[in-house]
Amino acid sequence: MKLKKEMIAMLLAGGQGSRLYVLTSSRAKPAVPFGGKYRIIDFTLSNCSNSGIDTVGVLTQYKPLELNAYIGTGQPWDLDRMNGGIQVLPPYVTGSDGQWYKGTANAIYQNIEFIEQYSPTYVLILSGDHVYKMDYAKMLKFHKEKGADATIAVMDVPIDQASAFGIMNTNEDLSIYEFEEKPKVPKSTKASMGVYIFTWEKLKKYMIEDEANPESSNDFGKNIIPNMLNAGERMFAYPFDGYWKDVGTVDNLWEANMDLLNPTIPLNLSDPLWRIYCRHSLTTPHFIGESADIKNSMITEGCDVEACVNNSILFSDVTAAAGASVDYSVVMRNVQIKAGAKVQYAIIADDAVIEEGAIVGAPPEDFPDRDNWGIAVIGQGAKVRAGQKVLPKEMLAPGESR
Amino acid sequence: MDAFCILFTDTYDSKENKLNELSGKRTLASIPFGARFRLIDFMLSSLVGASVHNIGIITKSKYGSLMDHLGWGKDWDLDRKNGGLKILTPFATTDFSYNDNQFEILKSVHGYIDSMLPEYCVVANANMVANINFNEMFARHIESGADISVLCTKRLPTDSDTELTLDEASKVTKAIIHTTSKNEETYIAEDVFIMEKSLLYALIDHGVSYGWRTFKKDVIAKKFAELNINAYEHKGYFKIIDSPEVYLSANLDMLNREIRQDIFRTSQPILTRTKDSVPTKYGDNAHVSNCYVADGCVIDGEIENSIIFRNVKIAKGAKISNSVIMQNSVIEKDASLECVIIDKNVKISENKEIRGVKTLPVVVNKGKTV
Repeated sequence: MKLKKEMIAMLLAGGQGSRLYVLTSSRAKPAVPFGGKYRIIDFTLSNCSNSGIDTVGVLTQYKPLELNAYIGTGQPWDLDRMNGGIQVLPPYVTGSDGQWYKGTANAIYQNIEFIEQYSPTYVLILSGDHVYKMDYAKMLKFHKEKGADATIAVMDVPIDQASAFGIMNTNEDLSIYEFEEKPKVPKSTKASMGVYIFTWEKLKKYMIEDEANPESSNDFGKNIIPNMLNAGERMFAYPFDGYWKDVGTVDNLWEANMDLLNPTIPLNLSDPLWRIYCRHSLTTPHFIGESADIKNSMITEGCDVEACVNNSILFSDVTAAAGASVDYSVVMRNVQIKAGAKVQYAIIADDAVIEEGAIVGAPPEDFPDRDNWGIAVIGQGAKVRAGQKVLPKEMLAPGESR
Repeated sequence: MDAFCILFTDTYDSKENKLNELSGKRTLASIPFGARFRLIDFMLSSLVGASVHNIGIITKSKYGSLMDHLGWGKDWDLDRKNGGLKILTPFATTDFSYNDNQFEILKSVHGYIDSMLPEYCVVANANMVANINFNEMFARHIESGADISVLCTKRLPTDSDTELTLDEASKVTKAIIHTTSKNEETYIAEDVFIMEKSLLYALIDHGVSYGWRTFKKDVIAKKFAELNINAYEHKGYFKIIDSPEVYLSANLDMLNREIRQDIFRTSQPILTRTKDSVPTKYGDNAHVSNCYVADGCVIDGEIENSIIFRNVKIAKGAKISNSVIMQNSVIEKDASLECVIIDKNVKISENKEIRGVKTLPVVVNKGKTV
């Protein structure tokens, strides 16, 4: 018998993140490295830990190996608990009716048993692929004050971008009267952040009903939330005004990393009261050599830098030799950038090697044809041979050599 | 390696402790070193690297920062169900003075020694910067059939070092305490010993009876004729931190790539307590050359040949060279530092200038505002 929990979190981490292309060909999107030493999932896990949520189920599906190893016992996020803690929940087979998670709601449905162990009053549904800092305890307080059955976190987006989101149309008391998925003509700018609190008994009822409908795609946004609205349940929009970014595309991932270098962007990673935790690799401090010139960049443990580095983020154990230059780029773990190589506007994934004099990416101003310009991406362990060139927007698959 | 270890976090020889300011509020072993480590990390990591998983840590006084650093030993993989890290707190005698010799202390922790299953014991100090290959030292100890193995290095002796004369098989044939006699490189005994548990017991009894103080001076120098003492030469980087001058120069040694590769070799990494610091941020005005920097810093000043610990802030216009800046310190605008050791939580205000020389660095105490 487990102790009762007021609220537990279920974190959807099974997404493939296909729009990150080569960056997610061997790992799930939540395991994609971010910001020098983090993974995307660190933000939601740290938010849980900092909000006092000590029971988190992580639903995995796509390429879970790296993510499972990364989560481990949950110790880095202080989620190795006697009662509760973190639990990875992959899809499973029961007799003949085992199956993959069909949709976001189905993933939760298949784990009703896990949730019921803790007899929670509320369940927090999260997705592991957003970068933001949020206190879920405040959101729960709001949910309780409103006497809501479901609370959906929303943030204001510019009206011209609103048609890319699920938009909540609300009354003055923030109750939701309508939900529109990617509306052509948005009526409001309150975009859903994919963070929901449900009163568990209600959610359970709607999930069971939804599961019985063979036409349903078993998705929160497409099925559960519209069904609850139609049935007249009390649903509220919880306004959030901090930094939030879906890092689901190469451009967004690059931009979110660059945001860390911009002092005007409110994503402070060094707030002692709201730390972002991560699993550390065993390594040493970083070394900045005599020929190095570093401006407006983030550099972390184990790096050995002799190169010119501007407006870039270097993850741990990166070596960048003298005469090389790195501009406006994200360089992940253990990458080697050799003498004379030039990396600009690029994302270089772990263990890649950029050999002598190779050129990766180019600045947009040097590129006459803007439509064909974009961030150059080098996959895990790929190699750009001496003197070779990787054009903007080009991608090298993991392990590929050029 | 089938051994347990008794690790001393202070020294017990009569040599005056010249590290005053740095060890004023902490044990020798917990002095910060190399941008994110503490001295004890080097010995702990060397031991863990040779699968020594039973380590008893002897503390005397001022061990708050040490306990804080070690915790349950998780960061060295020493939070084990069986064995692991054990902090042996001081045993005051009836008149409440602390035991200040190694043999009295070992006698007082015999309960811990009794409970150890391994047949061999490592007795060591934790005030040195070195990545020691204990597996090799242990193998040589067994091969040589010696009663005791002592770690030695070849270097210039300083006052009161124990000089060794070795035969072809590395057996110690003579041991004398260095005075001012000669100044050439020779074998020096260091505070790292391997012996059987039964011999350890015998030496404790002997030492307590005769009022001995330290293994190095009393056992090695007095017993080399009776016991078969084997010297194992450590050929890699080795420094005993016993003065601010050595502290500064050893830190600056970490700027040398070969020394770093030896000390922080990947086959036996130096482990330390992890903290959740963010990556270090360099600003538009930063000018950094030949520096070893930890995470969590915000650097917008000019730094060369320096060691910067975690969460240090260096403002625009500040100039730092040949210095060590410890955790959480803040160097404000246009301050200027040369050959300075800045302890933790120090603030150097705008325009202040502090200058030492390499042989006489200035030490700014923990928590001070200049």
